[in-house]
Amino acid sequence: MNTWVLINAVVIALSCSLAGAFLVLRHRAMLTDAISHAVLPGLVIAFLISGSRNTTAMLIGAFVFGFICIFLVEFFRRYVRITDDASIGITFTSLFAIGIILVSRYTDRIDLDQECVLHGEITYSALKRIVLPGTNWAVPQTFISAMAMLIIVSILITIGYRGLKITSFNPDYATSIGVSVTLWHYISGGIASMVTIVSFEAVGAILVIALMVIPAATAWLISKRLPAMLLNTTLLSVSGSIFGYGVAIWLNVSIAGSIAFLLGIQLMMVVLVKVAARRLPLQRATK
Amino acid sequence: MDSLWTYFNHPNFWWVLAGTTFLSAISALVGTFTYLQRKSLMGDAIAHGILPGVAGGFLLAGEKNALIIMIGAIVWGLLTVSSIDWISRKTHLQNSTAMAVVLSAFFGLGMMLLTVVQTSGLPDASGINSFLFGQAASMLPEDLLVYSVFAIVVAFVLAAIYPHLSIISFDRAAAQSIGFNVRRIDAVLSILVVAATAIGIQSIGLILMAALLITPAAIARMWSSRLIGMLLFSGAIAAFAAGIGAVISFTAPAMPTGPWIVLVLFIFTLISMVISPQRGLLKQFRQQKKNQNIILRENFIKRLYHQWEKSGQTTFILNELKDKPSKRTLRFALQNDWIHQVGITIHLSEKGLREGRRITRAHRLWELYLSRTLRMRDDHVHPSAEVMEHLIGDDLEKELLRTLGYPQTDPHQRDIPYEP
Repeated sequence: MNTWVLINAVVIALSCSLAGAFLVLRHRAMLTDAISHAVLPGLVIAFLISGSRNTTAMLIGAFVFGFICIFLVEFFRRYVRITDDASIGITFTSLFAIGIILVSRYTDRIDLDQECVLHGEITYSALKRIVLPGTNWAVPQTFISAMAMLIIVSILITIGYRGLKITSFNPDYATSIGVSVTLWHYISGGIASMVTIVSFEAVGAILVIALMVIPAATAWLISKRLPAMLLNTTLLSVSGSIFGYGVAIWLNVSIAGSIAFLLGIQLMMVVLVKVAARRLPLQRATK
Repeated sequence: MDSLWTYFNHPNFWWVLAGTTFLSAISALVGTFTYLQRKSLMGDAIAHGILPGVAGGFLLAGEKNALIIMIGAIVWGLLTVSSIDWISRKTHLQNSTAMAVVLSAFFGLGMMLLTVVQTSGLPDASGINSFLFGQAASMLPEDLLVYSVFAIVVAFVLAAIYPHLSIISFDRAAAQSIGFNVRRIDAVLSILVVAATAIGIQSIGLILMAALLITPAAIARMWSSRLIGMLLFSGAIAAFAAGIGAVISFTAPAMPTGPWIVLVLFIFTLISMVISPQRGLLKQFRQQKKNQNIILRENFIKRLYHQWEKSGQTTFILNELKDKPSKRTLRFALQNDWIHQVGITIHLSEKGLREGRRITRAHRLWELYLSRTLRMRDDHVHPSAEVMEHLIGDDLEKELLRTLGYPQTDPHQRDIPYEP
C-alpha cells in the first residue's frame, strides 16, 4: 500500500518541522546539518553490535556520537582555538567519513548502504508491519515510531512553550526574569537531535535538514506571531510532502529528494511573492 | 607487498596519484582564505548544492564526460551561491538559515536527477556514484587533464588577487578604507570556492568536499601564523591526504576515496592538536608546568627570607621546615647558589637572601600600590600580591617605586626591604 508511505512521510515531516521551527528562530539552522552527519557512526556501530535494526540500540549509539560531536566541537574551539564554524565543519565531516567507511566495510553485515545514508528508505517504510494488539490492523513499524515521535515532540513543545518562546525571541529579557537561556538552548537542541536521529532512516542524512529548516523558514516569512508560525509550519510541511510525493510517483524519482525540492519551491514562491508585493505599491506611488 | 606493487604498476596509478594530490592542494589553498574569513560552512553548502549540476551534466552528456559535468557543477554552484545571497538579502532570514534551505532543497533536486540517471539505462550510470563519495581510481587521464586545466586557472586567479585576498582576510575594514572593492573580491572568492569544489568532486566526492576546504586550513593555522606558511602547509597536507586516499582507492576498489582522505586529515588534526609548536596541548602543558615551577621555587625562597627577617637565622634543618620543598625546587635552589646544603641543614646564601628580598619587595610594593593608589581595603590586598609577586619584573618594579616615592613600609606596617 503506497498510502502508508505518504502517511509516514507526512508524520515525519510534521515532527521534523515543528522541532526545526525553534532552531530556525534561534538562527541555528546549520546545527541540523552537523547533527545529521555526526550520528552516522553511532547508528552503524549500534547496528553492528546489536546485529539488527534495533531502534533502542540505534538511538543509544546516535546519542553517544551526538555527545562526542558536541564535545569535539567545544574542545577544538576552546583548547586549540579553531574558529567556530570550522570546528563544526571538521567534526561532522570526520564523523560522517568514519560512518561511511564502516558502512562500506561491513556492507554485507548490515542492511545500510551509501544510498540509504543519503536519501533514506521511505519507499520501503511500509513493508515491515506490526499487528496492533486486540485488532487485526497491520500497521507499518515506521508509522508507529514516527507517530510516537510526533506525540513526544508535540507534548514537549506544549509543556515548554513559554520557555522556548521567550528564550527564542528575547534572550536578554528571559535572562533578566530568571529564565535560563542555556537550559532552553539545550532543550531545543535535544528535541531537534532526537527527531533527526529517528527520521534519519526514513529520509537520510541530508534531506532531514530540508524537513527541519525549510517549512519553518517559509512560515517565518509569512507569519507575525509564534502560534501562527507553528500552524503555517505544519501546513507547509504537509503540503510539501504531499506534492513532493505526488511528483516523485509521477516522475518515478526519489521520494525524499522530491519532498525536499518541493519544500524549497514553496519557499522560493513565498520569497518571490513577497518581493513582488514590495515592488507593487512603490510603482503606484511613483506614477 | 607484492600485491601492492602491482597497483603501482597499474597504468593509471601515477596519473591518478599526481592528479589528485595536485587538485586537492589547489582546493585547500582556496579553503585557507575561506577559513580565515570564517566562511567555512559556505563550502559545505556549495558542495551539497552542486549535485543537480553534476547529475544534470551527466544526463546531458549521456556519459561520464568530465568537461560537461565540470561545467554543470560550476554553473549550479554559482546558482547555489547566488540563491543563498538572494534569500538572505531579500528576507530577514539569516545567512546560515538561507544556506541550510538552499543546500537541502538543491540536494533534493540532485537526488531526483540521480534516480533519473540510475533508471535511465545509460551505459555509465553506476559511475555517477563516484561523484558522491569520491572514487579516485576511476579517473582517466583525460578527466584529470580537464580538472587540472581548471585547477591551474584557479591557481592563477588566486595568485593574481593574492594581495587583495590577504588584506581582506585579516582586516576587512582596512581594505575598505583604502578603497578596495570588498564585495567584488568576495564574489571572486565565492567563484573560486565553486571551482575548487568542482575540481575535487571526483577524487573526494561532493558530500565530504567541505572537509578538504576546512581541515587543511585549520591544521595549517596550528603550525603557522603567517599567511604564506599557512598556504604552503595546507596545500602540502591536503596533497598528502589525497595521495593516501588515491592509494587506498586502488588497493580497495569497493571503498570510496573521500572518507579516507577525510579520516587522514582528521588524524592530522588530532596529532597537530597535541604537538603543534604554537597552540599544541603539549606546549600549553609544558608552559603551565614551567610557570608552576617558577612559582614553587620563588615561594620557597620567600619563606626562608621571611624566617630570616623574623629571627635573623640563616641555617635551617631541612626536615623541620614547615613546607618542605620538592626535590626539583631544592635542586634548582642549590644549583643557583640560593642555598648551600650541609648534611641535613641548609644555609641561606647572600644570593638567596637577595632573591627572597626581591620577591618580598615586589609583594609589599604591590600591596601598597593597591591600597594607596587604587584605594583597596588593606585586608583585601594580600591575595592579589601573592600572584603579582611572581610577575613583577625589573621595569614594573622601578615604575612602582617611582610612583609610590620609594616607600619604607607596606599597608601592614612591615618594612619594604631594599638592597643594602
